[in-house]
Amino acid sequence: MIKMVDFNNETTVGTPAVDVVRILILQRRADVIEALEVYNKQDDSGVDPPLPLVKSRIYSFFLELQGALKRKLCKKDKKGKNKSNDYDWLIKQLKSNKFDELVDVFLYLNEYLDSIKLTRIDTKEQYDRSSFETDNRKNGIR
Amino acid sequence: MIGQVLKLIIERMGLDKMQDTYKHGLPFSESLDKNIVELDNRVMLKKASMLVIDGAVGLGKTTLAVHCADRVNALHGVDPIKLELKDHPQLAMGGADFLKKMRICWELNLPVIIYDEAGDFTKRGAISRFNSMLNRTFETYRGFKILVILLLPRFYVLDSHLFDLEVPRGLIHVVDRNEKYADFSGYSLVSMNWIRYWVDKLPKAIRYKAYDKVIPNIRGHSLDLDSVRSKQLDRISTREKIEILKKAEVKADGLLSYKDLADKTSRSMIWVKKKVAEMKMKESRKIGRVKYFKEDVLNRLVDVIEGND
Repeated sequence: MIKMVDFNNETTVGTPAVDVVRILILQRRADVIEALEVYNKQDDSGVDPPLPLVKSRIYSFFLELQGALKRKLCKKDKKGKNKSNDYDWLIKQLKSNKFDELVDVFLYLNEYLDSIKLTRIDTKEQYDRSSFETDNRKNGIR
Repeated sequence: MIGQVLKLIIERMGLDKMQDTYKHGLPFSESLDKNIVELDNRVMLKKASMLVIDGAVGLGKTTLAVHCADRVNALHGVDPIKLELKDHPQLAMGGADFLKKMRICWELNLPVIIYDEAGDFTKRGAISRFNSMLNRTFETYRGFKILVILLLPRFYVLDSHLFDLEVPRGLIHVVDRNEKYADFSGYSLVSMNWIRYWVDKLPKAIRYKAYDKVIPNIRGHSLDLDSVRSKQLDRISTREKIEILKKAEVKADGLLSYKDLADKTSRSMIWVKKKVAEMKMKESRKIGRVKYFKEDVLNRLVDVIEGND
């Protein structure tokens, strides 16, 4: 496990809580990826893969995001019904003992992080640089 | 026998001819064509625009410029530019020719003009005169809907005022040429400004490396003109170069034209011509329609003035 937030350190107290939580989320995500690496490695080697490790780390990852996910996914429409069934689906999939179903949960959570731009890396605007006028316009020359 | 048959087959199939166009039907890369179309659209909106083509001597700047101009003409349903020795209104060699032909292009509704700087820069102070002439031109002619294609060895001698006005929109830097095609890199105005930044930073001896500091927006190739037009262009280019050489010879020999004599004597050209005719002084050389005299003619004119005074 990679430790990025040290709650015993004085500087952590001075850090805004939202930043600490963001780092914790990234830490949990890295832990899941590490567990998946170990699982795949052992599975390919013919050794019993550590499914409990993968399952527990995905669950920890989910717990970091649970509040935000429930708020986002449990919105009700005018008739009082949930707009999305995704939250219920997540809860059900987390109890599964099948590797593929657990990975689906991880992928869902990963895409959620990209949608809120926590893990988005390709933020630079893409445009056609082979057009002189487009390049000029995008750089403020009219 | 087999060799003769093969030769006949090659000729019949046209394989002995140099390639005139690429598969898309143009003699240069599509990446350049896209930008020519955009520039033409911009000019039609009355936004003064200039495409600069630079590169070392003999790499094919004028050939590429002719291709670009032909393309712009085609976009407006006009024939390829004329390259006859005495009739090439869309190809100007030197500043004075450029100003004259700019007006002609406007009168004839021609959408593009090539200004080959030629030897304009050989004279002292020429670059600043050239720049002030260009500035005046673009301030006056922006409504004329004519795309200017400017040819010169290094674009960064252009005045910063032109860049402040955002007149040059793109640069085609001809990098190299072989017997079949020329290579070029294309830069937007943004990229040109970065090259200018590096030109100021680098030592003078290696300023040419400024082009390597900026990633080009496009890269491409262009083919030679067909043999007929290539010869026509050679004739125009050679004639201009010979004129330049002759004028250089004249200056080296210290010869003076009527205008030079008028300037030095502070008299009008009419007076100088009249006095030269009265004293039956013969010209030492004649280039085109311009007569050149030795310095002793000037001395005799000064004697006349002093005698009169």
